[in-house]
Amino acid sequence: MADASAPRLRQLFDEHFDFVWRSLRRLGVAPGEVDDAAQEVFIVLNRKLEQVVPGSEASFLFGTCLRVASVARRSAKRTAHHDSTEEGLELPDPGVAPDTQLAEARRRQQLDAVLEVIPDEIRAVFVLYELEEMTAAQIAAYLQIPPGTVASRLRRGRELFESQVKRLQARSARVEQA
Amino acid sequence: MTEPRRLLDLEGAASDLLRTATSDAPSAASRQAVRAALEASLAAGAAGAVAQASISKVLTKWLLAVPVAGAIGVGATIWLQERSPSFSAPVAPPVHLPAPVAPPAPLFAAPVPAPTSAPVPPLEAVRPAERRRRPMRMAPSDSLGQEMQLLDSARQALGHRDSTAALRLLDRYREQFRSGVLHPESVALRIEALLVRGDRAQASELADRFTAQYPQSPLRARIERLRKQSTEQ
Repeated sequence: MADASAPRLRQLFDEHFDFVWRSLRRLGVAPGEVDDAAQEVFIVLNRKLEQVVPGSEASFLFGTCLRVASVARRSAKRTAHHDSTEEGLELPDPGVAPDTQLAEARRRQQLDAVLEVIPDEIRAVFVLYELEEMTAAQIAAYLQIPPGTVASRLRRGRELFESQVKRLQARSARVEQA
Repeated sequence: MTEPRRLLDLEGAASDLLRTATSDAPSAASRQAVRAALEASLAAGAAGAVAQASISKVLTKWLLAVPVAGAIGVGATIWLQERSPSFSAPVAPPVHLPAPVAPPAPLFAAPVPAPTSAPVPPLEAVRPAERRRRPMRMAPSDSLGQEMQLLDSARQALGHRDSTAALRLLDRYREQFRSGVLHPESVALRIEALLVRGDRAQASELADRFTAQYPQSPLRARIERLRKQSTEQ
């Protein structure tokens, strides 16, 4: 890495680490793997830094998150039956009561499961709009797609998300009745 | 395009489930761990690239990349833990690991060449998973670690809705780390603490200054949401 790019990389890490971490989680990287995946994203950024146009770093990082998350998900599926001890394990927060933590962890697992059924290109738009609270124009620029495509993917993402939530509710109701 | 209202701003089961994500954020410990691991990886990558150039051309670059970078990565990490004032850790290196072959660069700095006689460890000596994960278990014993601990304590106090304790910890953070690495996080926590205390005016003023100072910060969305929630209550 060139000397000149070191301060830029440091600044980008400070500015975008939280965004990268959240994006990876919402793109399906398990809690126990997300730190490693975030590290991979910034390693890629370091490698390509000279080619990244100033001002488009966040867009580059999100695109890298999409690829790294895709690999991480495939890897997790392959190794799931070998090692289930760390997968999905979240360290307890000593400031929160255990029952609250358990409920939160369960809800996040449900959210992960619901998002998992949404295809990557639709999920990307859905996450950026609904959780990162970007505008459609920003998302179009981020993903380099037309605004109309953003709108249609968001619509589809919402349909899928809401239908999955309904299925989840129905399943929970069945379990409670049983 | 007319933008629909966000699910976070609506009611219903889908919105409730989506709101679960808003509290799922990296901890200061996570940030510190990734930063340290990244430094180690970058140092290892730089040293590995130099080491590879001196190794027999009979072996392919692909075959060498993993063990060389991995071994040097672990070596550099151990060296960091022992020597670096910024990232030292009280953990002794395991005796079975290869000795460090090159001093690591400081955070995100230029690569440091490794000795050309660096030995190639056996394939099973260092697994990629170890290379990545080992630095993440480093204990926070440096100034950044102290920053992190103070902010974690403030966050925990906020978890208990104890704004007084949180603000006291944040005051201490401000005194000790005027130009701290985690300054944006400290400001965001201060805004949250002020809102918990019910001091909306001061929180709003600070939020405006935060937005001006960190226009690209991902913390902005959270701050705006907190501000909005406080006005709705």
